Amino acid sequence: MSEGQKSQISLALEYIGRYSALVAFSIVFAIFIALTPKIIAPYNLLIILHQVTVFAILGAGMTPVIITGRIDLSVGSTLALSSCILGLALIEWKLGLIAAVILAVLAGLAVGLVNGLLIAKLKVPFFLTTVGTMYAVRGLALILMGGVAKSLRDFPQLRYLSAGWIYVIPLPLILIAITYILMDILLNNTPMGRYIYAIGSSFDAAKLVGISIDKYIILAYALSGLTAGIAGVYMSSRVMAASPIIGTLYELYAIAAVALGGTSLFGGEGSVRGTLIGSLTLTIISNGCHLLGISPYLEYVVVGLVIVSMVALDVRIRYLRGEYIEKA
Amino acid sequence: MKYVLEMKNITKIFPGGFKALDGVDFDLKEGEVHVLLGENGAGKSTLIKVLMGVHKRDSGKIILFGEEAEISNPKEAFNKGISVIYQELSLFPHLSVAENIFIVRYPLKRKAFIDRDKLVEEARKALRDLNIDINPLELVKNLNLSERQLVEITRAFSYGAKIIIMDEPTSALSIPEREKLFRVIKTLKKRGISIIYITHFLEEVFKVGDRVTVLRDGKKVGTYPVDAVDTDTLLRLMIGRRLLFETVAEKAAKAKVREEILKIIIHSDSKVYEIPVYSGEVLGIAGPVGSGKTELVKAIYGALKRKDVWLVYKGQKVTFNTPSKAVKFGIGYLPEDRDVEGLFMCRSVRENISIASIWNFVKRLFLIDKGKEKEQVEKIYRALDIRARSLEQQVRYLSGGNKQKVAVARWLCKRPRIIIFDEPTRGIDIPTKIQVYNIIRDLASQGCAVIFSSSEFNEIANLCDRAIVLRRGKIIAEVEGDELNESTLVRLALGEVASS
Repeated sequence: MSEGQKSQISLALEYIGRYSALVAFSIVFAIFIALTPKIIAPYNLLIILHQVTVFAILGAGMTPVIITGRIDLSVGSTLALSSCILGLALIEWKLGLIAAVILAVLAGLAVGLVNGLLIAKLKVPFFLTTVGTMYAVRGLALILMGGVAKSLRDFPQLRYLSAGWIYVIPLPLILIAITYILMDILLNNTPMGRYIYAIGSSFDAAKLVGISIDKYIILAYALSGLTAGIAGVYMSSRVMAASPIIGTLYELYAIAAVALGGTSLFGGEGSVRGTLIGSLTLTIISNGCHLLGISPYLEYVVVGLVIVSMVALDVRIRYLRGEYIEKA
Repeated sequence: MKYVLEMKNITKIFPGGFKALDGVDFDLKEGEVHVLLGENGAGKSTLIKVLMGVHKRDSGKIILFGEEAEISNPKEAFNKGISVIYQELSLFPHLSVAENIFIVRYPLKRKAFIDRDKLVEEARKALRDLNIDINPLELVKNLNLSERQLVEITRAFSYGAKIIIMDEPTSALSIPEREKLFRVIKTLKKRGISIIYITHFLEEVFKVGDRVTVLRDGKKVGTYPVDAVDTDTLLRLMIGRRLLFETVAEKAAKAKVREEILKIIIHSDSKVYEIPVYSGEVLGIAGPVGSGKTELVKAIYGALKRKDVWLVYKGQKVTFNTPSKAVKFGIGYLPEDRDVEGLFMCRSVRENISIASIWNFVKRLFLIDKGKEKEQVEKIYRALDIRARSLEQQVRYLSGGNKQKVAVARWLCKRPRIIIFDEPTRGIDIPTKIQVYNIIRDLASQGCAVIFSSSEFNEIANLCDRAIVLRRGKIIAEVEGDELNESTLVRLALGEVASS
């Protein structure tokens, strides 16, 4: 092989790597459109939007954490805590809707900060830290609510957050747009974002270039907690209830959305734009299976297969690029 | 005596055209110790990597035990009877010595269960064969470096390795430990094992070697029986004549301001060295690989805690407990291991260059002015003639020399008061080397203080205004002026010393 051919192949690999999320999305979408054209009917697109919002919001916060080469398993529980705080604030503490929403979102942020501090300052391994907070926060939510969900139907304005429209634009779309634009700017146009990528790319090099690593790991987890808080409010509005048991396993959907979005689980590479596409891919699989009458059990299998093949592709590309991955 | 290994006319060209090996011949007889001698970058490690199948050779052939052999990876080499002794890397600390020795072929009973008694018995026997006094039941984590090395040698021996390669085996050993290793090497020879012994300590050539091959700049200078050469001859053969520095700016072109920025105080066993760092000067840190240069500069930079290294700024003791503090003070550090510690491989050339000075491009709020960033980065990118497809190309696709230029560019973009270059020319091609030399001199003439650590003594001699010399982790001399020449440095760092 000549040098020129080699460099063309490496260029091609780089592009496939960069646009893998879009490729996967297009393939999945095309398959489902072929199988069931109903999927692009306007009313169904609205359903897809409602379904994608939670994954997309959680994924937006999960992205910086994964870019640092870490993971946050507590976001499902945090989402539930946020929902419960919202409910308590409205029902028990008689706060206004806006104050209650802010409080709920702050509860999510607080969990994120605790995660970040434990990982960065006390050096508890990130996996165990977030497994720990996953349990503890879920327990806290259950204690706060006495183990039962409470209806929020007495607060009809809450419905507006998920079902409202501004002119012709549904509110969830605006929520996604704002979250993603801000996160994209943060990651690409600020020093903090550069540092987050740097830490994920090489911890040692980041340290030696003078980055205060702890600060930015805390930031990444805080962002993840914050978006989990927002997702909790949105979910409460969707189901019009404050529930300590919602969001179970959602951390895995968020991670899947990030992975399907082409963000490397090894850290250092990826983008929230990808995560948005990844959450869409995930939602379309789920929605499409539903439309086709495929059993929800089989749907899990499909989701699993897509995720594994996507990551396998990523690993394969890295292998071809000459990065040998030895850890499994 | 018959030859166990013949490597003929080996050439290895790295991407980018750098000829690491140029038609090198090397052979090894049964039961001999053949020393491979040369400065850093002479091609010693590359030759071994070609033999082990880590690097694919561009031409030449390898004849192993009289048959032409194709070795495509280290495992194959291992199965064919070639073992490399690495330092502490390949042992399992939580297993016992015996378990480590037999790690991939535990003696079994009833085909499934490890036969513990036999395991310990065989390990004891293997250690005794080599006259090594280590308890086979001891856990490896409780052994010191020297003992671990001996366990590795025992493992290689008990696997039936016919050729054992030792790469700088003594660089971290104390004098009695070295003697112990030399005794084990003699025993190995008696058992018919052939050894390739890589070093740049001249005295060791005469202690363990039968023959010596000198490499220089990827070429073989010659192979000699050790009793036909002496230290001075070897020294001359190793260094040769070089024209490398004729193109480098004159040392005399010094900056007008010479101001003490920092004082490094190093507590040695017998003496306290006070080493001032002046603006406009290049301070050299000379010493072979493993002599503690990286540990010293990392301690200065706050990346390593050391009680015996202090810093004094304007009469006050300063402590950097993290590199970020050192960076805030105005120090930049170019690590020796640029791939792991220096560069962000999966990020673009642009981001790698601007990362250290990214706050300079923030205009308001926290937003980076990308135009300004690109403009500044591009200026340095062009000035250093970095060859990448674009500023947005990921650094991992660049050649070694270009990677190093990116790492240097980062600090040129930041402009700290002190820049530490740790082995900046290792593994890069000659034109890039010259460029790095010129950058270093330019920085000094613009008033920057440069600390330049290198194991290539000619670099220190030709580039530095002052230098300190390290040997086995200890500072042993401070030289400047006429004393600062290559042969003095080599003699101080590598030559015979009364105490050894």
